[in-house]
Amino acid sequence: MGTKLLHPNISPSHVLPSTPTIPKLTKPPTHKQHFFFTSRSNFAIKVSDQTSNLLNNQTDNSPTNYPTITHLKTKLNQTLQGLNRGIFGIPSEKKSEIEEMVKVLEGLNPNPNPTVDLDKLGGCWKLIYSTITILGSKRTKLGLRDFISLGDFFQVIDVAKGKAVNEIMFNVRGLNLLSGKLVIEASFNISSKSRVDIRYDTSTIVPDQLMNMFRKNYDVLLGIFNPDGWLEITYVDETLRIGRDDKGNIFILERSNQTDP
Amino acid sequence: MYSQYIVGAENPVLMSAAEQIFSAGGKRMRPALVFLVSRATLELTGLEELTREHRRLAEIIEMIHTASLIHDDVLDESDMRRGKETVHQLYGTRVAVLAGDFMFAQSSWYLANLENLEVIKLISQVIKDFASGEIKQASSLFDCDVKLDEYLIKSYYKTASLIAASTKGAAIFSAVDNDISEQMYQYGKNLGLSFQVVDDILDFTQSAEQLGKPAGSDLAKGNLTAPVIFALEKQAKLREIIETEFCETGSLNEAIELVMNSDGIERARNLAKQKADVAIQCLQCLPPSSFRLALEGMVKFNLERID
Repeated sequence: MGTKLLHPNISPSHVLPSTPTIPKLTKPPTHKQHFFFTSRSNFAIKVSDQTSNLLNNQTDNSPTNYPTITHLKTKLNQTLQGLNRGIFGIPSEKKSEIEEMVKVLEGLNPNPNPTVDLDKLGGCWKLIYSTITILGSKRTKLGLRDFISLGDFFQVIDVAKGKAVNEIMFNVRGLNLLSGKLVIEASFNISSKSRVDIRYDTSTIVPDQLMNMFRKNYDVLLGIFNPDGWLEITYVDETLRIGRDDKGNIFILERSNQTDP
Repeated sequence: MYSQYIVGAENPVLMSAAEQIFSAGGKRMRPALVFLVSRATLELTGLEELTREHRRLAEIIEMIHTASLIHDDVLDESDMRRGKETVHQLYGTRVAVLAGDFMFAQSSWYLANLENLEVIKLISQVIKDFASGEIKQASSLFDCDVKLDEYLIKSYYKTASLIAASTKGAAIFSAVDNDISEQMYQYGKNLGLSFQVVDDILDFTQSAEQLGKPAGSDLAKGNLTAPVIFALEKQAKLREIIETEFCETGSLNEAIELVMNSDGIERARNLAKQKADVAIQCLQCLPPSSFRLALEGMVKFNLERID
């Protein structure tokens, strides 16, 4: 019987809760490898035949070994390192790799009907990856090459009011190290147990000096970050949310502690 | 070379930096043009010898050219120039920026001391044009809608403006008529444009070894030059690749292939020849002489680089 414990990942992301991956020990079946998975449980678990396997360092790549969600999330975070949210383009192999991981996670979604319990969605989130890119002449026009750099992207969801506020932080290099943000306010309403329709309301750039810089190309900015359309929430748990929109984009966000960035 | 002493008199680090760049060779095409035009135009006014102004003009031009190269290397983060390490590679960015500024300042001072208002204005314009060229280039990176006209204006600001000012300045110091000095301006301008187009062709056709930097480096940075602009008219795939900024592995090479396989290089070659022909026409106002022949030779020599 070759069931082995999957080697826990070397460096779990600091944003994920550090849950140790200890499998539930149950009575091992005689000649088959079994794994337990239900749509209610939060973890896909593997059967280990002996506790000594905990100390075993081998990684088993056989397809019947389902890694835990925590493991997947760690692996995803590692893969996303250094990609700057994918905003300035990534090679297509990387993109596919991420998409594969997303699909696996979506298959293990612990909350397939998130709009039924909106508290799961409310609060502050930070974008860690999306398929949206700012490249070519758009990137040049917005000065995002050398002059202005993109900071974090935050999303604050107010479930009571049915509103979502997206904040895109900018930093301007130069004399004053000016920083500011683009704030886009949108409203949403539930259209199914996992889908919301989103409508753009207003937007603004603060402070004024930053607004002046973007004034000429404001429409380009809004075109990129336009929230109109629908969003299917394909995965959500306490710390991670994945969504797909009507334009085929993928969004991966993690819960953020910042109340008012 | 005399210029080193002008530059570095008070500061040994700057002296060393100046030595680094001045002794590294380079084609010294610009001072050569100043001397050739000076001698070719002297005859028209009965002057026999090159004047002190002619000589000083040549040095000023080379100083300005060198200063712009030092700054360019900082902006491009280049390691090598003229086969040697760049000033900022050896001495750091700060010294490179200061050395460049110092040279611009000194050249302005020597220019002012020549006390010829027309030449002062002519050459001051060039320093302004350098900046305009850089800004123009930076604002159109990866912009596949860039037109040939815009490319030519940018090339004028960055390259042809200085050469045109040198040739016209040389003619002015020979005290020739305005129309002759205007013709010398047009000669320099068209030679400069032809020169830039040839450089841009070579960036594609030469290997990394020959260029002293990776091939297709302009394209990689999003600086779309004549061969690319022509190729984009026929190759839709090229536009797609450029717009992704080559984030895909191997896409830069694919783009270079696409340019090479289109008529982009050929059309750029024709453009270089066209400008070269105009330049040679402008020399017709000069009396036939070995110097005029040499000026024609400069035009042809430039074209030979892409034959």
